[in-house]
Amino acid sequence: MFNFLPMPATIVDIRQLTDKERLFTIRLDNDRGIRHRPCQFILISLLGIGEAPISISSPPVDSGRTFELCIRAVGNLTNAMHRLSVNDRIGIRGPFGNGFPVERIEGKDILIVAGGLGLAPLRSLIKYVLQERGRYGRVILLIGTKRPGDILFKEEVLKWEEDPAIETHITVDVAEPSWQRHVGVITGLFKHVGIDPFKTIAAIVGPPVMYRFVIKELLAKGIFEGNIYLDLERRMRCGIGKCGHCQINGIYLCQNGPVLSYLEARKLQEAL
Amino acid sequence: MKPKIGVFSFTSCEGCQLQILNLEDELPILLGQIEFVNFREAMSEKGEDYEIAFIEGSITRESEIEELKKIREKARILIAFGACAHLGGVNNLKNFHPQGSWLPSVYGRTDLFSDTIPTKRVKDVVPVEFVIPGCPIDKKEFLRFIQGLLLNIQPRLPDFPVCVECRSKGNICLVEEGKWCLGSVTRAGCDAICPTYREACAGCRGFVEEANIESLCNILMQNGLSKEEIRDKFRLFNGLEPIDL
Amino acid sequence: MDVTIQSNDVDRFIRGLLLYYDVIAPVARDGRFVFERIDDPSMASLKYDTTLLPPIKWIYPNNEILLEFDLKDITKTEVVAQSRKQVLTFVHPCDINAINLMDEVLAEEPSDVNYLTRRQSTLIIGYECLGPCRENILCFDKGYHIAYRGFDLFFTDIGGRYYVHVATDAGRAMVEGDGIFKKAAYDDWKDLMRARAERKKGFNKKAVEGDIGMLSHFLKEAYNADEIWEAEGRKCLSCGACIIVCPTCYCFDAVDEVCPDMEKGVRYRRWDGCQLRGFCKVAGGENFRKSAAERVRHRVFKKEVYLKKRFGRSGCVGCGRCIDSCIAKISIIDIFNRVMERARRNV
Repeated sequence: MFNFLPMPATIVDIRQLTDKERLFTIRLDNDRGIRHRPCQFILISLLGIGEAPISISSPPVDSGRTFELCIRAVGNLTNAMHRLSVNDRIGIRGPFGNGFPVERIEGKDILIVAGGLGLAPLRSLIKYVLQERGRYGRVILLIGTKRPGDILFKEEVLKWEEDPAIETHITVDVAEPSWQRHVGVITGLFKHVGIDPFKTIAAIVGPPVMYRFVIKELLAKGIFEGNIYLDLERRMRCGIGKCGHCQINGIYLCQNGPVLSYLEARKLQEAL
Repeated sequence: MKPKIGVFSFTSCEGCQLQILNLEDELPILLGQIEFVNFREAMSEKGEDYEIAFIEGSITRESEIEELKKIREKARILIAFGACAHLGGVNNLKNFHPQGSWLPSVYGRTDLFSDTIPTKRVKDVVPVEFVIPGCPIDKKEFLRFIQGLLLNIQPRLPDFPVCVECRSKGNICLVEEGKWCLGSVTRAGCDAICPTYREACAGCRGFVEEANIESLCNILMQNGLSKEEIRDKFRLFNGLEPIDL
Repeated sequence: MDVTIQSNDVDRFIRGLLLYYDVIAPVARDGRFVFERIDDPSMASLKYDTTLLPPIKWIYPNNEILLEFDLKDITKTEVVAQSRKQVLTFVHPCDINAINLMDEVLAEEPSDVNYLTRRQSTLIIGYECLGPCRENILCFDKGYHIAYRGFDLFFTDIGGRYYVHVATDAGRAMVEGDGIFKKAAYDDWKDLMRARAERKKGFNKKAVEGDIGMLSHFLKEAYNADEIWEAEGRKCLSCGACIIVCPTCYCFDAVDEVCPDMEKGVRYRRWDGCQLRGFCKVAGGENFRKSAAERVRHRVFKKEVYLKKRFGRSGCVGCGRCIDSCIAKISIIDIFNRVMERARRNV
């Protein structure tokens, strides 16, 4: 039987990523790792305020007993998180959801498309794939944000740009004079990357409007619908497929998602 | 540092202030966390060093406009509490009659209050950070609001209508019985107290977002109300809200 | 084992139950009925029509506390899942069937500890419907006017006395001992058969025209039938009455409440539902089910397509509460009929 008890945890590190986002490093008091898969999420509990779903940004085996959460201050709970400091206590439930099928895609090229905050969950996948680099073919990363200042994990992204293990392309909607890279919507990056459609697995996370355009582009390149994976956002409330908030047609995203292949998602009228 | 609070009253029955004082069990505990520096109904001191101002009542005189603006300048956070401050309250009814024509029927004489102006909501005069709705306010909601302030979170009002609370209590629906009730378009949070006592919801907490006024209007007309009667029902509290009947 | 009880002994039976259990029974209120906790047998009405709220709400109550916590120390958080022993009495088959479905839904892993705890402390006494109890019902269409399981005792009025089917050991314990119940004899059984033959006469009018077994399929075909959903959406007030009174609605929101001392607090769950505007709104502001038309469609699909696909039977038990409680007169019977008609037209 399942109850709603959050596991006590401690904030062990906080890093400011942009104006609105901070990266929190969390350790569970029971000293057990969170044991998650890339693109799973947890529910943060702040007693007296409530719970909010947050994707895990760190790879499963990175740091042993800690994990990382990239949090944008938008609501009551996330704003309250931003006011916390190192050594403050929070509650954690989870991990929830299916996560990314990292075993199923071994040997394939991986095309990762991250729009805005979408890089937060995808970072767990990117870092995982880079750790297990030998098991995968090419790794291509496309990042799109509003402004250069909004790029999450900037230092890491700059490192990835230099890293031959991963082909990184970045675009911004609104450039500044010093900006040397691409300007425009994320689909504009596709003409810079040649892919083998029969070998490529795509992983897309971004704002709701982004999916349709990116998927269209990928299908046009000949990628099979079942090889396009989406990590969808909904109002995850209970995490156990009961409360109904995350339901998309017949499925509960907190249980059967948040990662769906486009083959599955296109049968769900409410998904995209 | 305890947050310093001022409670101010404009045109109203002052019943919402009374609701704060009705928190008899909680107030002594609460006073360990907050400090009232100006609260006419409860104390004689008149401190000016408040950072949070609770405004009760609607604005119906020029002098009140100036007074309210002065409070706004001093307060970091300004809260309109109660239907008068939030919506204009029943005071807004006079706006639908020629200026002064209501004096004889209300006061029996015409030589009083010659300086009144059409009723304004607090938000029509100064920016408002938060609203605690209701006629009167729900004292528990005030309490939750103070707690939110202490926890540094934005207190959230229910975004669903009164029907949710009313049905959850197993009440019999007044509209189902052929009567009128505005619960289906009115923001919940009152625990459906009026319909629970078989009294129609008059909408004192204001409309929910995207209220389907048109559908409710059709339903009430089927229950035998005329468009004018329905408009009057809406006007009691929501006369200053844009309603398209 | 089956037994009988004289009608005028039922009060004695309830009085006996009151010694050991919270007794929840249909009680008259302003011309309608509600399931309430009674402290005297005279409060209960055996003859009643569909209650305002379904009895399952005693197993899945509103504002049920899930956690108790200390704001200063998260390790002091405690799970609250407890229940008093209760008997839901004289429950109609539609409501029993609803509880049966919720037993499956909420026991599906990861299961809901609060529901299961209350369910395990709950006994159910069924009461057979020998005819339709209200106008806007479709229990008969769906075969939900009969309950085959999900009760400890089941009462059928056979004229001056009740035929009581004893379905479980807990049920047996309730009827044994004090001599109120007699072992059912052949004549009792014959009267039961006679009553059930009458039931067939009573339930003779289907609410939905056509093969209800095909409804789920036809609904899927009507997913984009805007002439149905847009029309209902324009009427819908999004007031949530239908999802509150439904015996198979279980969606909830979790809310924290803090004591005035700012030290202790509780997390409780409040009934919530897909018909309310903010149900699918995320913190960033996006609303994933914006229009009332989409929300009405989701409710109908959840009952008739999604639950059916997952649990093998319809989530609408046909009690008619959503129809009676909708002041905008949105009727699930009406919607079903239009979906069926559309299917006939499109053949």
